[in-house]
This record gives sequence, structure tokens and C-alpha cells, in this order.
Amino acid sequence: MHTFLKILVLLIMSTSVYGQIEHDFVYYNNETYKLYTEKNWKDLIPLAKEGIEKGHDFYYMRMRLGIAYYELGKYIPAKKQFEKALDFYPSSPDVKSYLHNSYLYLGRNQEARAFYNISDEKPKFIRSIYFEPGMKLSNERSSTRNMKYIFLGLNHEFGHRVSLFHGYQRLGADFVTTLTDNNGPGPGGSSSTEYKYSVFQNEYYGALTIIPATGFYIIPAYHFQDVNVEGYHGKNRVFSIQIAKWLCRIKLYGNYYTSHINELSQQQYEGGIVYFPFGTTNLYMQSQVTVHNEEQQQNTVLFNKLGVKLFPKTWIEGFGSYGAMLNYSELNGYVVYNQLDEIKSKYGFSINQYIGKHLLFFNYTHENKEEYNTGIPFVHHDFILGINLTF
Amino acid sequence: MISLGTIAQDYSSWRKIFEQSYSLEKDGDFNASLEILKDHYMADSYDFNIRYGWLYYNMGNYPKSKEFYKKAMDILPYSHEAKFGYVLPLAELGEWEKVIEIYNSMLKLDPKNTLVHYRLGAIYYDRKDYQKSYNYLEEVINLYPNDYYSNLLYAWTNYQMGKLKEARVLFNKVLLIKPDCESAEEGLALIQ
Repeated sequence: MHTFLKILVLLIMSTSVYGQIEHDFVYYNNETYKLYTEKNWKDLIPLAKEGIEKGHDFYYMRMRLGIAYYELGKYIPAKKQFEKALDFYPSSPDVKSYLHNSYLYLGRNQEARAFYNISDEKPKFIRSIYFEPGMKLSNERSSTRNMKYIFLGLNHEFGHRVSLFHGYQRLGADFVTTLTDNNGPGPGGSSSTEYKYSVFQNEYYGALTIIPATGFYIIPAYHFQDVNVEGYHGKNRVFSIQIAKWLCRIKLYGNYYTSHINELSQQQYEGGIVYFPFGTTNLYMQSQVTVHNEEQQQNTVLFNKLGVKLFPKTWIEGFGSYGAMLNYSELNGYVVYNQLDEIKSKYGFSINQYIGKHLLFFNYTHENKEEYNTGIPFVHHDFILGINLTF
Repeated sequence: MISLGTIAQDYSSWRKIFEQSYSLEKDGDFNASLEILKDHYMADSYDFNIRYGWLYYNMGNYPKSKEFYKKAMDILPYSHEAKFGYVLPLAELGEWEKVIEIYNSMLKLDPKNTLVHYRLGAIYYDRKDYQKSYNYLEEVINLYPNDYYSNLLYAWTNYQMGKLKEARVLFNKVLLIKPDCESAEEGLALIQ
């Protein structure tokens, strides 16, 4: 028993001594360097973080930690560490190179060029060409039938911090109305005729992206629609502005829209958040609330999206919007719903495939709609293809 | 007032412990080499601080090394020795802007210091600022036309600047100084 007590006391003592071990600079520097040379990124990260917390914060420690995150594909925390390393060594070509690549992997190409332009790349008057054909197929339960459109856009750079995306869109929508004649009693006394007509729209969209600082965007945008339907000629205008800010794994944004659609005035206030829980682009979630005002009437639209990286260059996204969408704008005014039928809700998915620098995407949206004059519910199946060629 | 007798006594005891410290350092025991000095350490002594800076540097404790080299520099501000010591931990910590600042301060006192010129040339080469690298290395080559390291780096700087004729001549010269230089062979192969 006496021996047992002695062992117990020794064990407690040794535990308390062990608990008091304070590693010094040499330990953290040598161990993290060893793990770095062994490419043992998973063990390096907690040790380097611990060393920094203990005050052993210097250029190479931040670089090792940043490179560990980078090698694991965690570009958001990697970027943070490289930015800290840059505080110690502001002109370091290595840090700038890693930061440049981290921004590229995060899809923030313009910022990569604007702030860490390692290869001295010049701005391009035409950075990319965007082509988007789409069609909406109706289930033909209402008078609204199919629609089709094409959009052709260009992205110009004016310096590294300012770019303009703009383009032309042509949309055509088909409608069918049944007209009934009543010629009196008896067989053949009444007849109905289908009357088909189409709406055509010529549209222009422009968005100016200004990046005053890393992770901070100001994007004013304008959308103009020229609507032509038999005997009617209308003009719709949407002006919007988006302000967005990255805060580590979160992107926050707010939008304001003021518009004149179908001879009515609207205002929209929008706030959203995109969250990258693992600091990678492998998984992200987006939530957005929009308050839409039109002639003293107000309604709210909720939007949610989930994005997952399926393969190294393939992402799939699922999304849904709930709330009345009529004379409604989204995506900073890129999309303007000016059709008279109200969208009650919509949901869908998209597949984004990168081929080198170029992007190919397919989008499907299921739109639950209500015919404006009869209240008949119907569905539009929206298919979009998109190609973005980057130079 | 400190009497001459006290100073003489201090030097006598310091000589002994410094001798032991050097001996332990020679055996690679930097920790013991430092420990033996600790009972006699004087904060206003250049000799102790510079020795501490060197030993902490060898122990891999760069923040401590930096601290003591800084003290030595403050005691003797014109000491190039202290500054050459100070840049060692700074480089290990990645504080390269500070390293350049120290080297520039040395060039103000000694504008033709070839070691400083060579090191600045190497730093700017690493930063891909080849024009600056060229300017610093040219100074070294003018004073030491046959220095192997300066000629080799100068050759590569010329190569990076697209001065291929000059680079070829320089790589060949390097091979005269050190006939088995692989880096110079590699440079020549890239030009041809």
C-alpha cells in the first residue's frame, strides 16, 4: 500500500511537471521547420498556431503555417497567414506569389492581379467573353408558353481595380389566349379560337466592379429593357448597387435596387452572407433576404444556396427562392423578372465546369408561377447554358 | 568610481570564463558555453552582449540573439561586427527589410564594403530586382575581379537581365576560377 501511494504521488508529480512544460522559441521553430520539411501539414498547423499564440510570431512561422493550409487546399486561412507574413517582409516575392495563387484558387482573379501581380500582367481591354443562351419551357396550363433568350457579354478591364461587365440580351416569349364567340343556341352556336402572340425584349446590362481594397467590392449596375408586344412598347429600368466585403471565411454583401418596371416603381433592399465553413471552396452556403417594395406594398423573398465541389474543376450548386417575385430583380440587376405572372417559388441546380481558365455551366430552375389574370398555377422549366471564355 | 584594480580583477576572471566558454562552444555545447557566462554577465558590456548574441544564434534562439546583438550595437554604434551579427537572427526570422536597413547604414560608414555589397546583391537577386543586384555586385567585381561567388552571382544576374553575351563571358570566367563549378556549366548550357 505504501509503495502504491509513493507511485501515485510520483505519477501526480510527474503529471504536474509535464503540465508545466513551456516550450520556447527554439522548440517551435525547429519542430515546425522539421514538420515543414517532412510535408506533415496536418501536425504542423496546430503546432505553428500554438507557437504564434505563445508569442513566437515571425515571418517563417507564418509562411510555414500558410503553406500548410495552402497545400491542404484551405486557401482562405492560407491567405490570412500569408498576409500576416507580408507584414514582416512586405516585399517578399514568395509571399506575393502564394497570395496571388491563393486568390486565383478562390476565384478572386481580379484581386490577384490587382494586389499581387507577380508576373506584371497588364489589364486587358477584353478579359472575357460571356455567352448565355437559355429557354423556359411551360407546362402549358396557362396562357404563358415558352420563352427563349440569348445574352452576349464582355468583360473589360480599366486598370486592375476597375472592370466593366456588360452585354446585350434578346428575349422572346410566346403566349396563347383562347377567344370564345357566342353565335346563339344550337350546335355550333359557339366557337373558340386560339390567339397566339409574342413579346420581344431588347436588353442591356452593365456592371462596374470597383475594388478599393482587398476583399472589398463596390459594384454599381444598370439594366435596361425595351419591351415590344403587339401595340405596346414599354421601357423598364433597374439601377442597383452592391457593396461586398470578405471577412475571413465569410463574404457579406448588401444590395440596393431602384427600378421602374411595367410602369410601376420598386425598391429592393437585400442582405446576404456566403459562408465557407472549411476555408476551402469545397463547400459553401449562401443565405439572402430581400425586401421588395412596390407602390406601398411590401414582401420578402428568401434565397438559399449550397455549393459543393464534386471534382477538382467541377462544382454543383442547389438553390431555392421563396416569396412573391413580381417586377423583381436579382443578382445585382442582372436578372429582371418583368413578366406579369408572379413567381411564387423557385428551386434548381447548376453544374459549373472549368476547362482551363474557361467556364462552362448548366443551370436548371423549376419556377412555380401563377397566371396574372386567372390565378392558374403553372410551371416554367428554365434551362440555361453559359460559357465564359477568359483571356 | 571604479578602481583600476577592480577592472584588472574582472578581466582576469572574465578571461577564465571566456576561455571555458570558447572551449565548450568548440565542443558544440552552446548551452553550457552560455551558462558559464551568466554569473558574470554585465548589461553594459559589449563583449558579453555580442557573445550572448552569437551563442543564442547558434542555439537557434533568434529572438534572444537579436536582443543581445541589438544591445551590443547600442553600446558601440559604429561596430560593423555587431551589425554583421545582428543581421544573422534577423535573416532567420525573415526580417529582410530590417537586414537591408542595417546594411545600408553600414554602407554610409563604409561605402565600399564588399561583403555588404555582395549580400545586398544576393538579397535583390532573390527578390528578382536584377538591376539593383547588378549595381551592388558590380561594385564587388571592380574591387575583387576574381572573387568566385561574386562572379557567379553577377553572371546569373546578367543572364536574368537578358545580357546573354556578358553572362557567357562571366560564366566562362567563373569556370577559370573554379573549373568544376556546376552552376556556371548550367548557365552556359542555358545560353547555348
